[in-house]
Amino acid sequence: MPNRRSDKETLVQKLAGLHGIWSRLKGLYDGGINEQVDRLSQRLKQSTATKPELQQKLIAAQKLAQATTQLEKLPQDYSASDCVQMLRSAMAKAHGKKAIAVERLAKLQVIHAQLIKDYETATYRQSPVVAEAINCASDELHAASASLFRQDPEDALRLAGISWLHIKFGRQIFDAETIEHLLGESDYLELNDVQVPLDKLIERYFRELEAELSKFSQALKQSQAS
Amino acid sequence: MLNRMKLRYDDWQLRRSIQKRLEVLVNSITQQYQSLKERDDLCATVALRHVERADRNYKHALEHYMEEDFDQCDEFLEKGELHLHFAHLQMVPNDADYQSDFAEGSLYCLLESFCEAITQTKMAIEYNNCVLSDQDRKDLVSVAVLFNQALKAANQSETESATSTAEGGLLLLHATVININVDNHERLAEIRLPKKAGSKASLKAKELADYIHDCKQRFEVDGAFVSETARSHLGNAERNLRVSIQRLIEQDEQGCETAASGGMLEAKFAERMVEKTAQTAPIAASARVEDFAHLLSRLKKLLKRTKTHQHDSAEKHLAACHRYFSDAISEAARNNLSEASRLARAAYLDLDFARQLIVSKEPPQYLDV
Repeated sequence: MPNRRSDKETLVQKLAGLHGIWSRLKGLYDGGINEQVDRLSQRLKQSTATKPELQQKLIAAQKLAQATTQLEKLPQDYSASDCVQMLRSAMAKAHGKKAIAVERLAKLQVIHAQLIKDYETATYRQSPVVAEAINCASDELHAASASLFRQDPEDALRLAGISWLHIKFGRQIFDAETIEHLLGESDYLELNDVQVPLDKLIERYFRELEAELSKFSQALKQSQAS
Repeated sequence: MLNRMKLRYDDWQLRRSIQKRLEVLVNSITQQYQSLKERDDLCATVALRHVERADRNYKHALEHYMEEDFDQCDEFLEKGELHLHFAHLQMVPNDADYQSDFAEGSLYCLLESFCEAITQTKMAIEYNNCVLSDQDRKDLVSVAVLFNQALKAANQSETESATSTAEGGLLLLHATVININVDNHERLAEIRLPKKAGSKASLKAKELADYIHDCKQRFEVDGAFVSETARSHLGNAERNLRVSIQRLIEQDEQGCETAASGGMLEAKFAERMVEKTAQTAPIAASARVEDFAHLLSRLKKLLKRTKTHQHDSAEKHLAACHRYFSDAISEAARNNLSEASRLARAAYLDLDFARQLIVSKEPPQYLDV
């Protein structure tokens, strides 16, 4: 007999994982699927079936398309034909979403890599805000890929959206600071809590005092005019 | 007997399909390695990482296949296939821009507006060389922090918290931009905040922010005629605005509305006081002198810390600047405006001289306004 690692408990856990995927699909359709899956899980937990039988069920269930076939084979009270129909169309939708998620993630990974490359080659400025955006985007992309591996494209798309926001934020800050540098001014507005160098601070205080004086002069001019 | 035969048949079928997938995977990996060898662009670098990961997954899958652990083998095969799919997509040049495709009115759409509002504000401030107060700088940092917090909440699927944090952040940004506009006597036209705020409470807070903006502009026009009491009421209104934003972030809509209403009363009171005193009061001396003295003492403290060799000389010029400024205010209060202008100019000359002593490497000289 082949050496199979999974025992009954692991199989039930794995089916619970599949249950999670099905539960997320239930948002697309009415509660019928969920109820069926709940009953299937219950049945498996209470089952006195032997390990190979359960193993067989699991392998079949791992491919969700195959899972529909498994449901069809179950007694009438478990798998109504409309439930199978719903599962099939849900699978088709999920498959479409997966393709979209893969395409988006592939593109985001390239955009992210481009931002990292630009950031690393910019010698004039290493903004901590951009660095943070890059790191956060990287975490989100990683989590999105993990969701795809878990066969959860809905979650992958959500996380891809968040990673896009981080990348966009980092890219826009980076571009703005590059233009500021090219204009020759390099007076960057810090968006993180960093210690401003003293010489910059002194210049700024002088500017504020001058602004105060010019405000006063303007008020005087207005008074003289009236 | 039949059951056992069926099981054996299924097992044989499973082995065969996995074996075929393993073959396809290893062939594709080799092919992609070959085609990536000839390229050194960024897309190829990213794709190569995926091919390497696919390779690692293939090796794990093979190990499990040898151990006849088909579950694990299947898992690694799927991962490997997905990595190859990524690599394949990234190897094909695709210049089309990324389309975020967020549904209108959704949390992600709000977050995208927030992102754009922050970066546009930063650009506008940098390009216009705006002067920012310490408070404005702190607020802009807080806005960036709130943006990251909102994204973190979105990551945890805490939609309500993410929405209120983003709305609060946008309001804080709106209020800060108003301050910067007034302080710099210009409208930073590049800044576009979303017109459609979410809840009733956030609309009230936005209304208060706009009212404070109008008040401040009015104060600017009336300049020196604004009494200290009116300024203090406007200050209270600003504090209330901050409280209402904080409550909004904490998802306390009632608290947000209450603070916004209180702030509105204070702002209206401040505006009425300006209307009453506008025609009668001379230039309000004490507030301006105090403000200026505060800014000067802050600068002096900083200069002491840096201990430059020109420190003593600069301090004398700063003291002269303070004296001239106070005298200018007194003359203005007596309606002796031409003398006030002369003294204000003298104050500026001394301030500029002190600045050159500290900041410039050239020998200082008196430069007119």
